[in-house]
Amino acid sequence: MLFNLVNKLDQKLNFSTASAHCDIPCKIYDPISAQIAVLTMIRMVDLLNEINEKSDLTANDQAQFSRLLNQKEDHGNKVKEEIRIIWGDYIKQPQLDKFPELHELTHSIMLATSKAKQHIDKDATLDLLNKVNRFAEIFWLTKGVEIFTAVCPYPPAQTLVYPKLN
Amino acid sequence: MSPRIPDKSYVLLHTWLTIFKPKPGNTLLIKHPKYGDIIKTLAHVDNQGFFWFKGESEQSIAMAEIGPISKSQIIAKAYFTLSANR
Repeated sequence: MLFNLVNKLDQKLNFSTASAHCDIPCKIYDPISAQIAVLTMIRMVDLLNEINEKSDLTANDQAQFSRLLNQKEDHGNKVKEEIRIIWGDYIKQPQLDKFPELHELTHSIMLATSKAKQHIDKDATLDLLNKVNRFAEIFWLTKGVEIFTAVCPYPPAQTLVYPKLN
Repeated sequence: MSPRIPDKSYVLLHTWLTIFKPKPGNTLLIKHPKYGDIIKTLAHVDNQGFFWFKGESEQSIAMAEIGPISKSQIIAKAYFTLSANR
């Protein structure tokens, strides 16, 4: 009754409004975007190394080198962004209690991504993939979803952690 | 900021109550550079005197995302909430 009264007053006086919920509660989180971004980085390193093995570089080779490098950089930023969103928005105390390594793992992913961006180094990208796969594994386990590992059926043919959804 | 403030609630606010130093647990209206006027719960005050806020819902954005808030950005203190199901 009091609510209805205030509601009627609001219609007349048009009270100021404030938001109390400043994020869209979409609940759509999936580490696959980060995993695919790492695969892209690995693939870019493979292609960059192919160009690197050539003795003479044409203008096209040089242009391609630049494009591949840009893609590696962009996907490195994507890895960081995707992991940060899951860490910042989805991970809460219950998940931290269950997997206390989460903060350290997330930070190590940030550092490993920087390293993979700074160099054309396959080992650095593979190390990053291991960490992101572990993050994906933890993510699915916190949701009570079993996981399995499989080699992705496309280049760079690396092992990924997938959710067992059937 | 469910469950304390369900959607479409009316919140009675006092601007002058902010002359007192807000305490953790207080629900405050703040002027946020990105999110505009938002109501959040004070989580803690850091050594620099900045205020850190949290939401109360599982879907609320992280405290770090809201960022440090200065005293001048605190507009009012909430002391009564009226929701449709009350």
